[in-house]
Amino acid sequence: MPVTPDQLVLVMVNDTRQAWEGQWRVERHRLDGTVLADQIAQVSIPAGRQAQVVLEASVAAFGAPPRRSSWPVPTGRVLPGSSTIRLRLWTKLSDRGAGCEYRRDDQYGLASQ
Amino acid sequence: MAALNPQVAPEDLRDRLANGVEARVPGEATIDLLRAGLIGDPYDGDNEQAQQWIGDVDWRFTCQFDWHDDGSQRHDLVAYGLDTVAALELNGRPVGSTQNAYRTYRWDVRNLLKDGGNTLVVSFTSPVREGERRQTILGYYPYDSHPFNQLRKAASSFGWDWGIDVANAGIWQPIGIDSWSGVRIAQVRPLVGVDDQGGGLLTVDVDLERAGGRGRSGTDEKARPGTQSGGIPVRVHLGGNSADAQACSCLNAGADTVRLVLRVPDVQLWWPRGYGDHPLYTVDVMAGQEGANAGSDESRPQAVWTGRVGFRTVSVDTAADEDGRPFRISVNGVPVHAHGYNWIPDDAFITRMNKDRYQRRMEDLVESNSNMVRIWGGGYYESDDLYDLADEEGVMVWQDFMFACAAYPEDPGNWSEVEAEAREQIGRLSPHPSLVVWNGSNENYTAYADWGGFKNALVDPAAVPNMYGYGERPWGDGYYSDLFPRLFAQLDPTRIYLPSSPMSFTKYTSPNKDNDGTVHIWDVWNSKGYKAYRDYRPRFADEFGYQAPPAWSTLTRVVHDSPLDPFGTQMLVHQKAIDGNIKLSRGMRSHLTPGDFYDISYGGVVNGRRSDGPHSWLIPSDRWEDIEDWHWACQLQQAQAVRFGVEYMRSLEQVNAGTASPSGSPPATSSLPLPSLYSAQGFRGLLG
Repeated sequence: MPVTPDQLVLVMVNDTRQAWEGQWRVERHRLDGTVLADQIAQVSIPAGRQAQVVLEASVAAFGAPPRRSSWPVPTGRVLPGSSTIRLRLWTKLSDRGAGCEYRRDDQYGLASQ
Repeated sequence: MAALNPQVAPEDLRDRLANGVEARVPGEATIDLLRAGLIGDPYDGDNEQAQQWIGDVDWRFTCQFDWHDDGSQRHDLVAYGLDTVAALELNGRPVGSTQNAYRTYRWDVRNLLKDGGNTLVVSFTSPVREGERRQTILGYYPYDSHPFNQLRKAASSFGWDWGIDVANAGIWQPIGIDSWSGVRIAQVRPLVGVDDQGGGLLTVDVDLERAGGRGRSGTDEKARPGTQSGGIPVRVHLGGNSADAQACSCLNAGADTVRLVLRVPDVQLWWPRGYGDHPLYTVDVMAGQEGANAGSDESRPQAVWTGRVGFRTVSVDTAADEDGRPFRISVNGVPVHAHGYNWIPDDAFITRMNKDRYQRRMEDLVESNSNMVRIWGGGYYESDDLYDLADEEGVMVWQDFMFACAAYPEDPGNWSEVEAEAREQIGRLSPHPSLVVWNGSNENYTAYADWGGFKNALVDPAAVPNMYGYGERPWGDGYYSDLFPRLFAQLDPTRIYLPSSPMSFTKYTSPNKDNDGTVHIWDVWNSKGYKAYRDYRPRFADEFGYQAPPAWSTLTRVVHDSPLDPFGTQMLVHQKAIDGNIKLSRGMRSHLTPGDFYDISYGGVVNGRRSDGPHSWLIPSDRWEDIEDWHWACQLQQAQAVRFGVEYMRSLEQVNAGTASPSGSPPATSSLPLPSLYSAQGFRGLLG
């Protein structure tokens, strides 16, 4: 039976009462700042909902430790009142039943705003 | 204040305690002893153990005061809080007795007062002994440590896994003589609504007491010029934010409650933080008329009440969906995500709390980017100061009734006390727009269903067999699922109510099921490590967390082990969690120290064999050479663990609708924030 490999997912939550739209740039880089890969995602998030972007393998892949990976950077337009966009990276595991599971790989300090 | 049984105290204190020590009111016995220099700081070192005798003492408080009749019709002795079981005498004659620290007591003492000097005596029964005594009468109801569940007194005052055991007695709220005539406002419940057109609806229920008793005008007993002899006029005014509305009614003979309704067009809505502003309106209630101009517009009211309200609606969605059942709170019809903390008493000695301390804690909450605080059920219905601050800051309040982690007797005596307590607190807190959730009990459903030793302890062969064919003593569910819902239907149907938390809203399901209703997550701290948060899919996690020691300066102020060590004598007095230091060490592995969470050692050999030596949950690399490094690592772990948990749950948005981690208050007083607070600013933080 085929197994869906784990995926790294950018999860964005819009806590506000207004829709948010914008663009996220996710970079994979070395500790010295050299960008190894990047990905740009156009995102629309309805009020009070979340959006997800599965990261491409070139961005999600890890090199040998010590390593630092993807830093998502918002470049989109924040609509008036949209002040609580939260951003974290999680590893998406294979689907289970009706839902999906997301795991954040904190061992490598992926999370960032 | 004097000890009636000084023989339970250390020998060198007995004479002094028998002769009396100056007491302050509001206050409590332990703080009076501390102020008198008779005991050391209860938080310091291992003083807690040495001071257990204080809870065994019967304390008598005596007050002499001058009183002169001002011509009022009634002179009531009012005690806003006595902790807990007490008998009162005024001038050597009995006044009454108290059984409940969470209520106000009022006695008509007209016939006991005398002009000039008066003597009031309040005699408290030892709370520790009284709890045990009642247990011999009512039977054993499961609990932890002392039988706190036999008394209506803060459970955590008898010690908790985060706090010291310092149950004592005292007059913890103001007490005095209330002189009044004609009519008195007993309670005001200003309940808000919002109609489809955005108009505000304020329904004000006013409970009144007549000086002459139920249904009688005070003038029946003592004629006073200008006092009305029939109906009592009652007026309500709403102001603020350009509103100016009022309504008038009349309390008819034989009635004790009057309802007034005001409509406020284009009302400004109250929103939680992050969702909008928090405008408050002032409500003034005036009842009765006195003076020579009674009946005219210039006449003064006999009784007034002032409070604030905010216009908003509250609802919760628990309808089954593809993931289970949510617990999603909506304010003004908009689903809101609750971010917050649990509130435990900010001091083991509640009478040391004041508005400044509530203000500082509210600032911590706001700075952490939270929008909810849950008042946990093992402490107190807090001061109005806290709820006022929450109203102003837009912080939603989840209020537990004071039942926690135990089974509770439902005998007639306790039932009447609980009902009186609930009526008072439901009414007192009803004006606050911040109050959105009432919860019947903390963990009492999951205790009954899941905790060892609970159900079997309640088996009663003499009771009528239940649906499973055996007799069982009532264990508190009568309060949560019967009494409280009836009281809310009568007194305040505008809030969310759930009988217990955690609880699932599907029958035949574990109360602590993560995908149904609310959940508490503690196995992560106790036995799994913080990555196990991601094994859950919480719909609303209203309790979870990770321990850490307090700020370094706080810790070293009260722990004097030399050298300082996690397993030092005094450190272990303050480490209230079972095997707490072992849990801290295991949790660090693979994050801050080598090894795996489940590693064990035999004779120092990691995952070795029994023949290697004695078993230990610790492995050699758990040991920190520098205690300051250990302390910092513990705090870092706490911050990271809670951040990991909250961020994970946030990634489940729509499935998850709320998180509330504990306040992390250590067993030592300190207002110093921990790294976890700064971490929360980030993981609950605002961008843009």
